[in-house]
Amino acid sequence: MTEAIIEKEIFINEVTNHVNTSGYLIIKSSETITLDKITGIVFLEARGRMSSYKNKILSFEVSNTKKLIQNESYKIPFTFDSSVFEINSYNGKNVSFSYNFEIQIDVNDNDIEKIEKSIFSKIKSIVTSNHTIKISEYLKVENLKFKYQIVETKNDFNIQPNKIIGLFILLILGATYAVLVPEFNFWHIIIGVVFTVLLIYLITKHIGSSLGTISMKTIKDENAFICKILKTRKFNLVKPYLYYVIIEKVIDKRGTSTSTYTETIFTSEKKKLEKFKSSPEIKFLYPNKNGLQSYEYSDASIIWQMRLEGKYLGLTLKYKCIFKVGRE
Amino acid sequence: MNIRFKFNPFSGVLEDDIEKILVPKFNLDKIVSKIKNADSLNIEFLGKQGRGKTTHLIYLQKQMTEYPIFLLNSSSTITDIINNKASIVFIDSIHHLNIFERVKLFKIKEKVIYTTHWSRKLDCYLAGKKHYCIKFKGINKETLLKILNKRLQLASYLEKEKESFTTNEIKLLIKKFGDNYRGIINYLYEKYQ
Repeated sequence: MTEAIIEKEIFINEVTNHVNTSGYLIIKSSETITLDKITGIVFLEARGRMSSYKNKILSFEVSNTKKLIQNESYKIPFTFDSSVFEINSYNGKNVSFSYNFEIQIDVNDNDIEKIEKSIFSKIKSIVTSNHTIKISEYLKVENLKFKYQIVETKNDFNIQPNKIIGLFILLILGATYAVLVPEFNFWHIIIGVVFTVLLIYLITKHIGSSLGTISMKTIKDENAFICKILKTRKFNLVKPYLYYVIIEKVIDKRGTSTSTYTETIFTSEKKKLEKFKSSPEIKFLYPNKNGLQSYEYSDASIIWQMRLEGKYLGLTLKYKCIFKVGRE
Repeated sequence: MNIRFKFNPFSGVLEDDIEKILVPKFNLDKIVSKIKNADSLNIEFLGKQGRGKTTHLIYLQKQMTEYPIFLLNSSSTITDIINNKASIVFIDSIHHLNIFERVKLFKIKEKVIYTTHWSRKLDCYLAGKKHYCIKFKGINKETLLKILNKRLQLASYLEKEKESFTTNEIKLLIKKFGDNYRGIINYLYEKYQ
């Protein structure tokens, strides 16, 4: 029996709109065979310094039963819904989000023995144990015409540990240790570090509670968003300013211990808070770059964080608050 | 990222791809036969973190998907494992169970294949179970070379990837990281990202 050589190649357009994406499959067989079904599947992959994940986000029929006549080339067009692409293709420092488009070709049982695979360069092709031929291609998803849109909500700011206080405690402890303890002991250092961390935590908590609470309310605005500061009356900082950052966060849970990697991928303009005593409203523009909305997929996420900084008793205090930005 | 690759060759590997990049530390057929045919037994993958224990455990379980695998973390409990009817179970990071739970588990299940940093020989003894240990320690140039080149190939657009590591590069990596396989992979991830 002559074996059929199946030549196949996918052509797919770059995904640039949020309605439809189109492409086509070219297929040719050296023997006449019947295909039962051709299916298109889109996978979202998250790969990086973590356990990688791949999940099916869309499956659709490219073609039902189709007879391939010997040596005739067939161009089979397909279209699928682009709204499945929740985030653009992204290549960060610790994680990449990408889309893999796979075509599965089911050959009719009567023709299975005729099958021999042929591989085009740059396209991986495999024949599975149930005689489905698979070919796949990575898709580039970018420039989708979505606009950012803030999720209107109220969030509390959290005070961050102050490095100057930490350094000051370490200096005092170090000097006391040098004077009072003549012999160096490794366990003293461990106890000193634990004590320092505990003291920093307690002092920060004390400053935070004596200043009172501060929160923000996010409000939609055309092509921008407004951050309204809400605070208790006694809360006051000198020369306060506000800005937001977008952070890539990856949690590596491989093996026994867990590691977290963060990378700031965007920093907004810093805005001075005038009239801090009343509840100021600050308007922020979204980044020019598209596709960085709040997103979480497996152990990787894109986080928007508002930061408030200002002086209190000569110390720079830092407050952080996570908020969500979606897309229209 | 290097545009010659579909993805960073040194990113975390999808479970389905483990077989393509692994250079097994043991004879697969022998272990599978031991699990399927031997009397009640525990198999221990022993080694420090980053030496490939979990990867090998997942690889082994993929050959016997009729038996479940439990990837434990600090919030895991023994209940799910005990309630599972399978007589053979694969467990990653068994240290998340305390000694009483481990002994209980070893008594209930016919075979437990698990990863650990410390030998659980005593637990097996207390449960009256035979104990077979596979140590994940040490690395040799040839194995590392194979693993790294397999990763390059898996991520490559080409059927046969042109780029490969040289023996000298492998020597330098071993000199820098010793047998810390994950340390090497994380270092190369940054280089290729």
